[in-house]
Amino acid sequence: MKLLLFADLHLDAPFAWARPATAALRRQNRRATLTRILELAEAERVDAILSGGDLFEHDRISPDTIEFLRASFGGTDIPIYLAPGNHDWLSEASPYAVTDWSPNVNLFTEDRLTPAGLADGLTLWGAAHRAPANTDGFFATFRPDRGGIHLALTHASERGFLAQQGSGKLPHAPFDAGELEASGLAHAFLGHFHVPRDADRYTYPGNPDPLEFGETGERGAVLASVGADGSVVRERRLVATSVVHDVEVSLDDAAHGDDVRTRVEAALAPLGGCVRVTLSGEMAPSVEVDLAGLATLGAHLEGLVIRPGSARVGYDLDAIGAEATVRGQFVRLATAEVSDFDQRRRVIVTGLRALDGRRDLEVL
Amino acid sequence: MWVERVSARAFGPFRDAILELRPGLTVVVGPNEAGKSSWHAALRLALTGRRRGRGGRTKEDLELEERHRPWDEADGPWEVEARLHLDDGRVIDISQDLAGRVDCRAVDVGLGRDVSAEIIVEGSPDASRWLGLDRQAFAATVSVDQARILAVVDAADGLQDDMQRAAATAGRDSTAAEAIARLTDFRKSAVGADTRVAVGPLRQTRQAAAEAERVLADARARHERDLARAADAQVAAWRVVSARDRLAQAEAAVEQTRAIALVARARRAAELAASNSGPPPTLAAMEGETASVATALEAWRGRPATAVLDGPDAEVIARRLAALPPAPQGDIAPQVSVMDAVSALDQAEGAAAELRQPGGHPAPGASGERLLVGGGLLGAAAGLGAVLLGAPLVGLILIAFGLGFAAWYTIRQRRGGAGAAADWGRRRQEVAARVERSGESVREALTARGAPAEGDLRAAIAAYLTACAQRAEEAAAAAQAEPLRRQLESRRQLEGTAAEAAAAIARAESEVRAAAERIGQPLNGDDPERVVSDLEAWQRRRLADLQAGQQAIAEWQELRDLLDGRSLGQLESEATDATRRMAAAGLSTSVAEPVGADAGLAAAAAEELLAARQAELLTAERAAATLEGEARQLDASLPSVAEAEEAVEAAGADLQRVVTMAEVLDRTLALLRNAEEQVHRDLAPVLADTVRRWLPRISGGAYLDVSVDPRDLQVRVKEAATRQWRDAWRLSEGTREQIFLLLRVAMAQHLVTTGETAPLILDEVTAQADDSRREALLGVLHELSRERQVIVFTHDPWFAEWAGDHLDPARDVVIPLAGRPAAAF
Repeated sequence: MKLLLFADLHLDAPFAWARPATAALRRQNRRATLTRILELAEAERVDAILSGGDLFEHDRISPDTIEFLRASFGGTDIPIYLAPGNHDWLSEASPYAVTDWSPNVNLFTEDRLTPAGLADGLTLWGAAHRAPANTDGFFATFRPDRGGIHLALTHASERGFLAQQGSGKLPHAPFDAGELEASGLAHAFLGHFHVPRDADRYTYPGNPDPLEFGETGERGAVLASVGADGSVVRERRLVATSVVHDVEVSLDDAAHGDDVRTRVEAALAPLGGCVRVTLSGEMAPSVEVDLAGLATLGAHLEGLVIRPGSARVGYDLDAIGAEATVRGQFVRLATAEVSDFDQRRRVIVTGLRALDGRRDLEVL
Repeated sequence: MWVERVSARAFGPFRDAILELRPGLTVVVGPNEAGKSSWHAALRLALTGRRRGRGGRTKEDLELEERHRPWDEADGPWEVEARLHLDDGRVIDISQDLAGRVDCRAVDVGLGRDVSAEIIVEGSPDASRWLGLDRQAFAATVSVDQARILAVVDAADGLQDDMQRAAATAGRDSTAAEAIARLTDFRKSAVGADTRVAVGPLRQTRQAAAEAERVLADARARHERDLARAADAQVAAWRVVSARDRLAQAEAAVEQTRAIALVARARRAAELAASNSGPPPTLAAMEGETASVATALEAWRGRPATAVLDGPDAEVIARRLAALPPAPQGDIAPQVSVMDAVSALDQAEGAAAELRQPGGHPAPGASGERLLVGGGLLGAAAGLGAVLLGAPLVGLILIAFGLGFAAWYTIRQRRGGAGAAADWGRRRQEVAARVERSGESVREALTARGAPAEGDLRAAIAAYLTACAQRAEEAAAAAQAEPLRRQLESRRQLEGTAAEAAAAIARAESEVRAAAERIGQPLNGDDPERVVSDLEAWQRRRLADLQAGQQAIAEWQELRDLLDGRSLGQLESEATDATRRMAAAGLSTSVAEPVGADAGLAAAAAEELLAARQAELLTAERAAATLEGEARQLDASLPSVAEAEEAVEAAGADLQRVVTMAEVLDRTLALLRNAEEQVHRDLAPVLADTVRRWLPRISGGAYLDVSVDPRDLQVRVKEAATRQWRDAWRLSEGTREQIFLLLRVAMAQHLVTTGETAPLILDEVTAQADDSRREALLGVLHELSRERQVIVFTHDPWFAEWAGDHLDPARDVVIPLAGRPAAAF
């Protein structure tokens, strides 16, 4: 039995950092990624396609995307199993519920594991999130009511792996890895965690198309071959359409704005897709960083984000603070009275620039 | 700190040149192009070096290289060195590689140790760090050039401005006030106010963020509605599918009933074809005869009855009418006017008769009374006669009047009695007159009625009464004429009707006979009833024949209708096919074996069901189409929630950027104002103390005291003569120069935070001064040089003269520069 697992495509999710055209392109890329996944399934002649939830975003999905999903799924004869997640939770008004899916689409609709026969003696148990939050775990009390090999497909959070997902990731439908073995499941195919993981008894494929900058791990679709004894052999396939780069450009010793521009331009030259440039290092106080001007360097890219990052203006604050001047006193006061690090940095640089007679008084 | 020596390996015009300085006052004198500015720069660069960093060269770098690179590359590397003495006793050699900025170091001569790390700034050693300054601050604080002196001398606020600038940034750039003004202006343009009427960036970005939030809320609401609408549309679509299923069931039922009907039709057609081998004859001829006979019989049955008349015929009645008299002219009964007059006469004559009888009742009166009673009775008799003669109304009136009169008069006479004897004579006359008048009245009444009244009155009255009775008889006879005329008219109508009936009967009989002849029915005798009876028997036979013929025609028509242009074989083949299709669908074409809920319905019910389900499907399809249409319309204009969220993020970021900038600027302004206030507050007494120490001397006792305003560092002096405080800018230029130098020294020392003594380097500071000013200024400088090294660059040879008279060779020196610099001193 050969299965193709993917999850967390998040169709129609927003890109807060992007310009409208870039955001639209990135959303289009996600669709293209789904097309790649389906093409991969056809090419690999898999027996079934498994979607581990968050296929789309319920609060944002457009009619056009719904039609795209319907047509895409209808374009293959391969059985497709859908387990709604917390972002595409199942309701009466959900696109899952109201779309006229092709016969090969199988939707898990219960908030408990229900069976679907994949083959003789091989059962796929799936569950759906019926609400955007507060979904209990599916595995703690689950026990199959029949013999054979049992697999699971759902959107859930393995507690032990939660810490590696970064801040802000909520433990929807939480479970402990041990629950899988206790419940008699040979393997669980899961969604929710975007950081991929191939554990003994469960698999998180990760988001197949980049959602953010700086993502790590081999995210994509997972080809899973299920043996007669329930053993699973996995093979990860990259299916991403979006090309995303996260680069750091050091401004150490940059003496003026042209230095900054040259360094950023050099960093961007070999890249394509979407790029996030994080500036770092310490530049001379005289340097004026023109972020708007730097943004124009990404004309050949799908999207470009430039953030100040840890780049700092190279004032010798210790020396200045030792001065008996207003400048020195200002630095001393700011250091003593402004507790927030970032605001202190901005205040000091702003004040020093004003005292230097400069006009670039907006400090990034 | 003081500088002992500056040497240039190669610097501008110099090559391996050395300038030896003294710890007190050093005056470097030379004409233009003698190299004073180059030495001034070499001294500064030897002490502070150049910034060494990656990246391109700054404008200042380029200017420096342009002015001070070795004029000839063959002169050697662009390097300068200096030896300086620190207040802690250390002697330091600093070498600066100005080109590569690599081979730069500071070495403690006594220890032979590299101390560059103590003062390394931006990649090269900077001796100003021992003063707590940096390269820029050193240049601005320790070094005073001609332009700055001129600014102090020429501008009213030059001194204050210079103090503020030095206090703010050690003289590098702005004053604190300028920086605050710059920040305030920037805040106004880059942030603006946050009021409802403001139009600045803060207000605009806040409005844009609010608008983006509103758009997002709208997009989310419409998205929710769209999902709900999609759900409704799906339900509608499912209803269409359901309606189609139900319609298909109804259609199957109808198809089944039609198949059943087709089978029955074929069977019936076969039956009819078996009993009707060909088209039946027409019934037109038979129907014509039948109709003719039916018409004749109908006429016979509708003939009138024969009329039977009795009583006198019209001729007899006409003769009787002709024999009747005409109606009489005149009264047919005595008129009341006549009879009242007669009665009055009778009474008068009765009264006269009473008078003529003894005792008052004259005898003739008795006969008269009897005559009156008799007259009344006679009138009654005449009335009876009138009744009998056919005038009952007149008769009854006469009877009533006559009997009443007789009764009245009899009673009256009996009551009247006797009159008084005494009045008898008078009464006789009155009665006679009364009789006379009554008689005249009778005559007038008779005359009025056309009756003769002459002669004997009683005869005339009798004649009148008789004539009345006679005319009453004539009137009764004449009254018979009208009934007879009506009787005559009625009789004539009856006789006409009877004649018409007889004619109709004759015609009916004639038609019956004619009909019998047309159908060849023999006429048995003259009795029409016999003929009619025969015709009726014929008619019954013909009716049976017609019915048979009509049935044959109906069956033939039914067969044609059943076949409907097909042959019987074709019809039977269709029935067979239908039976086969129904069997394939699991349905029977036998009415006795219905299958399915709808299969057994009668054809009409099935058709009705079909129509209902067609309507149901139509309704469902319309509803679905409506929702679908709405969906398309909504979908086309449905805003993207993701895009709206992105717009909110972008607008929020813009707003946050401005808000953050506002916070930073506000905080910066507050801190900067606070810093300015604190520094000025600390600096003002330092400056004042320094100047106060020197002021009486340099002003020749004209001023006793000095004050520096901590708010703005404004300098005021107290005049000795008037004890008045005056603004320093009101002093003479020379005094201002001297005070400025004192302030600069005080400022420099204040800005030096390490306790090290800062030297003072002056470049052409007396260029515009007269002799007295120069002397006073040099006097001050010389005094200052006792506490710190003072280095003066000047083109003025007067300095050399002055120095020869005033300088201490142990601490001071005059270094002349002549034209092109010498290779070494």
